[in-house]
Amino acid sequence: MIKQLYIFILLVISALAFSQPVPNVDENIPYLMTFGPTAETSWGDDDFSQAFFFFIPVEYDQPFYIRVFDPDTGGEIDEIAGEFNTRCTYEVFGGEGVHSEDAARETSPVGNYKSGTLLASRAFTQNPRYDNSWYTFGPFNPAQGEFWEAFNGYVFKIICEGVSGDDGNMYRYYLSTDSDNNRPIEGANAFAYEYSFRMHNDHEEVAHIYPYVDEGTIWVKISNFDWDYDGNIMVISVARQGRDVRTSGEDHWAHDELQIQEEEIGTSFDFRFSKANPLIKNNNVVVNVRNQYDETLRFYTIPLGGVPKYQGEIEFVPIE
Amino acid sequence: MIVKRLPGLILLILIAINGSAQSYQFIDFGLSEGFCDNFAYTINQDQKGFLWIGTGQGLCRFDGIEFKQDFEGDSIPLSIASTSFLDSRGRLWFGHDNGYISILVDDRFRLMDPGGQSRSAVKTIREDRKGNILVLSQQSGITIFNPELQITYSGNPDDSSDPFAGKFHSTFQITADENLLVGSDMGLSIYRFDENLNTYIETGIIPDLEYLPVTEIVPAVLPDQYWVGTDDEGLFRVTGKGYNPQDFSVQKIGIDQGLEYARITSIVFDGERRVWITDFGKGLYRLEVDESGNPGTYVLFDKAKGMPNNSINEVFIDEEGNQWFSTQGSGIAVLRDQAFTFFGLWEEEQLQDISAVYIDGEDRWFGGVGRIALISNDQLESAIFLDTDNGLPEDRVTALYVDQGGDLYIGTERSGLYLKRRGSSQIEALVVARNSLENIVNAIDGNSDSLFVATNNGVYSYHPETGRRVSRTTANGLPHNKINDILVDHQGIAWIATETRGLWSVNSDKQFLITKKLPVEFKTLVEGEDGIIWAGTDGNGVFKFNFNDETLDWFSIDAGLKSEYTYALGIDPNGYIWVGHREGLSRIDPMAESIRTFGKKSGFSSDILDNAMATSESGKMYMGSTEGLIFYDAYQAKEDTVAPKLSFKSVEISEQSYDPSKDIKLKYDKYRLRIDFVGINLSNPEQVTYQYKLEGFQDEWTEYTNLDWAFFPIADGDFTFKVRACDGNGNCSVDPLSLNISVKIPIWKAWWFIVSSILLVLAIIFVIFKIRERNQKAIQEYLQRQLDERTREVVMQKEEIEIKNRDITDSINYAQRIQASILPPIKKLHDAFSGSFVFYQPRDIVSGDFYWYEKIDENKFMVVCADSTGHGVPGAFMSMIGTTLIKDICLRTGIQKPSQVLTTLDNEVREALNQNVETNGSNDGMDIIVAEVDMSNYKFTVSSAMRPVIIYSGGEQIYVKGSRSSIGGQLDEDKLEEKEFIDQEYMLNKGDIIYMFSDGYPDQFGGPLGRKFKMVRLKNLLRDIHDKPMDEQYNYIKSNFFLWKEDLEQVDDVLFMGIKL
Repeated sequence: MIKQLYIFILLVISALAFSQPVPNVDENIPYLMTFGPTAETSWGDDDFSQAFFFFIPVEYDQPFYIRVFDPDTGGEIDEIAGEFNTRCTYEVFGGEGVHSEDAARETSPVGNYKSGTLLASRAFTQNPRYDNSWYTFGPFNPAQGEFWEAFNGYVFKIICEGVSGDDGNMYRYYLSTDSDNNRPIEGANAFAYEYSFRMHNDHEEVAHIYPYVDEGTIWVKISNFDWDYDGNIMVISVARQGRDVRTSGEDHWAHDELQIQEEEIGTSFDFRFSKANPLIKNNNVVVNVRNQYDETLRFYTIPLGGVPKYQGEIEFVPIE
Repeated sequence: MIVKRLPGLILLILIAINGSAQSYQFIDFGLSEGFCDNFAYTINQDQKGFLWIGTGQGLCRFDGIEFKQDFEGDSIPLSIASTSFLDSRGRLWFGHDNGYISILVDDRFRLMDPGGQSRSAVKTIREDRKGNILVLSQQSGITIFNPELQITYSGNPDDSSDPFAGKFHSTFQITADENLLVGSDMGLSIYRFDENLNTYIETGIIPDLEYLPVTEIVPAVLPDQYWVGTDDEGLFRVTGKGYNPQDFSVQKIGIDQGLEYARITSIVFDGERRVWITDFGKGLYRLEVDESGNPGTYVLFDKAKGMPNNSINEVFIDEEGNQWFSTQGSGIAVLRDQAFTFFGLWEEEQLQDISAVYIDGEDRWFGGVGRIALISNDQLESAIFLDTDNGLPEDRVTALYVDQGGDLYIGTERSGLYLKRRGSSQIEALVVARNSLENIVNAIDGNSDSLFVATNNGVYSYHPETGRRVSRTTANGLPHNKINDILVDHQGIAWIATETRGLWSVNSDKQFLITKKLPVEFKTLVEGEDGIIWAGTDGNGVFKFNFNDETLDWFSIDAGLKSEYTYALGIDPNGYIWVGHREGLSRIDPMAESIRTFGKKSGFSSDILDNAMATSESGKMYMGSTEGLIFYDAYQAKEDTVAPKLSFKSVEISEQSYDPSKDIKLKYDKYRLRIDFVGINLSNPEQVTYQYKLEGFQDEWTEYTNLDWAFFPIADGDFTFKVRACDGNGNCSVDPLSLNISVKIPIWKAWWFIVSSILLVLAIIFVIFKIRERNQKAIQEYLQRQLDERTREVVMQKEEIEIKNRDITDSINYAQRIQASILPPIKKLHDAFSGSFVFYQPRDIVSGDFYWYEKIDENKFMVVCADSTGHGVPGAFMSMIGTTLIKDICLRTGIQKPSQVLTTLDNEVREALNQNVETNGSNDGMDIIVAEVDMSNYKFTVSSAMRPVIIYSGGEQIYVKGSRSSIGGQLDEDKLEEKEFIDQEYMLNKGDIIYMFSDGYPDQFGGPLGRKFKMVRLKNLLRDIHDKPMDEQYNYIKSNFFLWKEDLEQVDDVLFMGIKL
């Protein structure tokens, strides 16, 4: 109970940013990324599917929308392979099992990962109507989500999945109170168990993702896919100033393990993705983190407890 | 077109009326109106008329007035019910997002689980021709319930070979050939049922709809034609039959109507030619459809037009034809009457008053504050506005009128009359009077050559050609100067509405006055097609002046009018009279004499302004209000023909709830019965009225009231509560709704108790009778025994007494013989006298009376007649003493006179009885007559103690009194000395008669009155018989005695002696 209260407080404090873009501003990630199923995994997407969860606090009882920027696969933003022939679906789920189902919290689209009730779905191919613009799902009733007692709110899920083709679909989400404008929901957040995203081409840009270290975590296994050895991935937390993790090359996974320090329990890591090679463009990467029980850790777009800063040694000076 | 007609109006401003200025009569129900939640998904109506809404907070029921959320039955899933279906058996099905189904059967919910472990959201429920219910779940596919609610078919989504696996289904439709059109996120699939495999088989996806998220499939106008709605890809018409996808053609429709990329969630055909289509997030389309099923003209209802929310989940049309809409975030809304449209005509939202309306052919003129608008041919897209720049004063336009020359006359609230000539855009002051009251123009009307202007200073007529103006005020005959309205009827007669007792004409001498009615302020007038003039008043309702039959009708609140304060009147093509009030309207049906009202609950919140109502030749009405223009198209109006459906809401008996669907039986007690009921009329619920009765308590129907509950105090008996309802249009329920309530009679009123009681009482009486009889018998027996005993005793005593009596009697008889022997023989008396008799009648056997006579010497004969005290034996004793002493005394020498005899006798009696010695001795004695008759000379000497002697001498009766002393008895010494017996001597003659007697004869009771015989009668008797022979006298005296005595007892011994000398 104390743990839940702690999480909740962190969640509320974090959500004071009132911002539900996915990826979030702090993450400095240009786009989420999902490829068509016939694409080569070496292009960066290991499973052609990405699930994101949205959390709505129970206090919010008004209609809300999930907006998708550039949902189609075509135009300048998306990654073409030959010619655009990719069809991607976006499916919004609510109801029982949307998050509590084990498969829903896995990193691969197997089993009943599309758990819950399908509230809305839309398939996009190349569609100039939605190229470089927003498509809006909803309005949804917050009560249509799955109630998450630990966070005292409702959880929805959106899965973007490549149905056909081999192009790369680059997109973003926004959890909004308005169908035509991006207006954040106070106290809301978004999270995923596996992050598939596009890196900035500019090697000066540093991307961040923020896995949350839950209570009971002893060590974690950090996995990244198709990093192409493009720079380094560093872990920063309240207890570490920076620790490089093993990075992956082309079309393969790299894993690394970290012992969790006590101060890190109940805080977020800051995974920093720094490019080193300005020649590598359109780098896509997939990241997930598991604990000692092989359970996945959540990446909150708004890091719980805020963006972690190294605390250093605490020095006590007696008062004279 | 307008420009062609008004070429000179170059200064007119052409402004496109923003579509958002137009609104409809939507009434929304959100949380503030008591609705259960802001999120509503599905709407349906049960057989009782209740509206059911699936909301984010569960099911919600609406009866037109209030919402209810607690229901009886199995636990209803809290999960959202997003689909519903009323089957042919009247069962209402709800499909929930968690995969459950709840079914409303007989007012109770039954929970069904079609999916088991694989349950997913229920999306659509439909019924096939056989009465089977097909349920489509999002991932589980089809489940079939037979009419008995048993599952006869279900899929397994976990099995990848299942025909429904791998898709997210959203909707389906059963085709005429019993195949299924199933919509999913993958498009529109066709399924057929394989009887051999006993399963559905997907025959394919209709190619043109592949990957399109199909959300709705409904049968369209023509057979084998369906309209298919998609999410974000608009509307399609699918035509074909069979199960081969290639046999189906697809055509995208609705593009011209703006549905190209519509997000369709619901399609509902309203009859054959109109269809409602939701465009989620954009609003609601109403499309007219031609006979081939092609969409035609349309109206988009969105927030700008009064729809509370643009995200509409479902459209539902109830039995009365009202359109209901469930919204995502704003509850539900209803469009009860599409005939009304609301427009905000002016740019400024703050001041939308339309204070004057005038229709001139196809031109509609509207006046506001400092502005005028012209709309021609109902082309709402454009309007022409005139304002102060055109010369209009900064004042409210109160009246508009176009004369035959096309010039527009403009009445203002305080600035007088203005004129806009035809073809000009400039407005000029026409009549601005010095009298400010005359500048207050209330109405304008006219005929072919002149117009009449109603002001607060009377009426003036204006002749356009000559410019001549003639005023009429109270100074020249008007009843009042404040003229609220003026109406020129079809005959050219100008009637005014003012404060008076009826209608006044200002251009004729006609009047139609109300008799016996105080003056009322008439506010507004309108003429019907039949020449009837309707007049609205300020506080007195509406009057109907019928010139045809010279009748007057009155409509008030009691008749159903919304308010008795009226501001404008109008007549629609159906002949209904529309009455404008503050915050609403009344509609009078003159034929049915019923009134329907439109208020806030009907979507009206604005005030109708004075005389701002007009009807076009095409039958469309225009009403000016404080919130803009109200447009009414009578041909779009929905007529209510369905009577309210009655239901019991609750039955409480002494604060305890009972199920009103069953007869209620109660044990005996006194109860407080409260019944709440509702007559469901979703079109106009606030005008439903009820009447009811409780048979067995109150057998007469109550008056119709708005009360939807009834209260009765009841005790024992059988009661039937009946209620019926009528709506505002006079549609009444034919059969009343009934509820039987039976309260057991108390035990003491039960027939068996009464019979038992009677039997018991009879039994008790019988027992008491028997006991009494037995007691009586016992008493009788006891008494009999006692009687027998006493009788025996008495008999014994009697016998003893008889013996004693016999002995005594014998003794007395013997004594009598002795006494008789002592008495001298009568012969001696007969011998001594020529006639004599002795009537000697002792009371008992022996007598106290005695007589004695003896010839004491040669000529003298002594006669004694004595009456001893007492009678019977005591008397006999005394007589014996007396006889003995008399004999002795009379024969003594020296006794010469009768008085001496008496004196001696007295002494000796007293001596013999010791009366002179013992004061306590006997007081007995005797009354006695001692008479001496000297036979020689008939000298009669008599001395008597207490007894008289009657003598008849010479025919004269001589009554000789005796002395006042009796013989014997105890006397004081002084009294004794007074005792004296004297001799009375009479010289009688032969033939004279001497009568002596004891008191037994005169003292005998008898006669008719039971009285004593007395001395008088005795004297009379002797007077009558004294001259008769002594024998006859004896017989007469004797017979008279017994005749007198008759049956009475003889009171004393009787001795009567008669001696005839």
